[in-house]
Amino acid sequence: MYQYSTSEQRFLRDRAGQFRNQVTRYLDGELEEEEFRQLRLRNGLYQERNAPMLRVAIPYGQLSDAQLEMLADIADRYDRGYGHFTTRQNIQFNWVRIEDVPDILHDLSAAGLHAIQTSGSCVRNTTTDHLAGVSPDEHVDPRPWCELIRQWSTLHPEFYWLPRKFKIAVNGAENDRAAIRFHDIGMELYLDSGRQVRIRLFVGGGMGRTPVLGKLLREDILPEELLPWLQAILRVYNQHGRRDHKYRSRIKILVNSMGMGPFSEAVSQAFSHARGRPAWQPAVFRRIAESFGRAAPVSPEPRLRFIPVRSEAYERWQEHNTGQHALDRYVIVHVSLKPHGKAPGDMDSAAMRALAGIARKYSSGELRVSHEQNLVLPWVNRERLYDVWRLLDEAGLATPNIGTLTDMISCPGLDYCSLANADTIPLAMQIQERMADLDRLYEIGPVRLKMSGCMNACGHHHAGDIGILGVDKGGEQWYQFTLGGNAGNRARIGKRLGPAIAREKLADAVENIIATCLAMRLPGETFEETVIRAGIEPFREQLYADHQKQQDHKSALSG
Amino acid sequence: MQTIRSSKTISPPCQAESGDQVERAPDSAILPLEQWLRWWDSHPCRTTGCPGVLLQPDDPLQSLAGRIDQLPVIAINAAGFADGRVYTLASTLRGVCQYRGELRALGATLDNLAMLGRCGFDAFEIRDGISVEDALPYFSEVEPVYGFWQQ
Ligand code: SF4
Repeated sequence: MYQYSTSEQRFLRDRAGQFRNQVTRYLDGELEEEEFRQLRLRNGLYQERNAPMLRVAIPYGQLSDAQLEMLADIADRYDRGYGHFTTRQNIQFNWVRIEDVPDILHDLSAAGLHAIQTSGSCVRNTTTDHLAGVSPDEHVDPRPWCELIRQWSTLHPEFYWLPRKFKIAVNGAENDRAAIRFHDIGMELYLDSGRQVRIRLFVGGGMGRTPVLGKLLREDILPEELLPWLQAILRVYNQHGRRDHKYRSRIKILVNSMGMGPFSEAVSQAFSHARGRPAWQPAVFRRIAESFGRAAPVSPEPRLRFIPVRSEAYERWQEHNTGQHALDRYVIVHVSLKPHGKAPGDMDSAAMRALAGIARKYSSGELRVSHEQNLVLPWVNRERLYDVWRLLDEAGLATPNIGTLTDMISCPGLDYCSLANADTIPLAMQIQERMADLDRLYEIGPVRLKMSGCMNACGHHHAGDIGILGVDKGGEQWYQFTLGGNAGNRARIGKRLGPAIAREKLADAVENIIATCLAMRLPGETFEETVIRAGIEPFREQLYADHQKQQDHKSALSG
Repeated sequence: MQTIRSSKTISPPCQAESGDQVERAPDSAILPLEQWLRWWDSHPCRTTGCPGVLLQPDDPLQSLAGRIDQLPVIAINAAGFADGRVYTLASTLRGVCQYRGELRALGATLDNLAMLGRCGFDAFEIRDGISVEDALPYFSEVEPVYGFWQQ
């Protein structure tokens, strides 16, 4: 993992000190409300429904055992003993006090953690594949590039006040696990015929109220040209992006209104004007790249061979929650943060500490945060897998549901978010309880269910096999379904199924959709494949036929 | 309003073609872009120092193309606290147009000073009620560790 130098540590402390000064001035009435709002957002601090919320970055999803322990300490010291992992490789603390935030940031800095640019109209935490560096299908390790982008974009004086938030995602594997087509800039790393690293940039993708797939801006970019291209894109956006309307200020709207041709022309011009700036710094990149060596971590080779006990629970877990590692001796372990009946992505401090201990002993001290709101142990020795399972199971972290319907993504919704139209967490829990039977879950097979509490789409519903969007209808909570979205290589925006469904009917509707799929799917087909083959029509018919019947029944009763 | 100037020496402002003694335009001689363009068109000889120009965040730099070297001072309205265009204007003037004259931020606030400075501003008119002594520490609250933005 990349280690912060002493000057980087000082930088984080200074940044916490700067925010302390801003908070003091604000509380003393010396800083205007709107200005403080802008400043606090760039330090991850939101004013939510019930309390201020602090969003801490887990840069490109890399987390150490000590950092996870620090997060546990923060949760206990300043919050209610838990945190919430988001879809963007961040963790949110939902019950902090503004006065405490400077202390929290100071404490975090000791573990090399921070909340810089985790919100506000600036370049946000760069996200990537949670299996970076350990996955067998990887062409180029994306982490050094993410770290380079992090350094470049951190407090970049020119791009600190963009028209709107700006998200960059990087993928370097055959399978896109970073949803690059759904980001303001999606970056793909690949090897050319001479096995040299080249870069492809997509621009203008995003979820939100107008979901758009990123368009190819340019390929065959050389490593040293990356930052000049990023700078050129941001220059054009910063200068010409709309600032008068919150919902029209993302780069996707600019790309649309200019047209991809003229936009790309403007970017090319800005690129050539900059004459290779920022200059490539080979030594800087080397230092970064070396810190992510792919060498297997040094963990003592067990001299004795243990044959795991055959237990059904272990086998099930092994089948669903582990994955193939680039090196044969190791296994990738997915830690499910979706135990049935709990808020997806939530983790309490006891579980954090237990997992930190497991990571230290069995995964070289390394963890990952996935955009599916789970954690990953990337370096587990095959021979110790049973021990790891036992410990995870004890900590309540071994629900064998990775990739299944109950491994759902959900934003916080009305429980916390001040922008929400509708509940998400209670409904996610309801669906999980309904679908808790593991045999049934496995029979259904892989399904990505994603739920957002409003149009902002933090739960990525547009990209779910099943997407659920909370809407407000005259003060009531209703839910709009979409089917057939995909965030990966087959990036697609889900199609709307029909009119919104009432809150009480939500879990029924999910069951109905699943039943429709099971009734017509061909042997070996996944949910996704069935939807693609059959289209959404049969699902629509079934869902609303049922609905109609109930309506008729109701009116017959009342009539 | 208070003005802070950086200690950096400002290069000769307006190189008259004849090599005559150059006169520095007085501070007050800063004209909004449109007026400045009119002044330029009506002074074909330009033997005396030309006035500075005042830019709004959405003014196009192209209209100054080829004349930027002549400007003793470019002032930019930086009163919009979160208006990032100011920063791209300044960075472009310094990094792309190679402008070396005075770059003045009008209406700067304490919390913006450091970033304005890093984008190339070297003179600052800060909001009323803030003294130079109060303002100076804000330039170095957080010393940058990554210098990719330096041109
Ligand atoms: S999608 Fe809406 S409700 Fe959910 S977290 Fe984002 S803004 Fe809040």
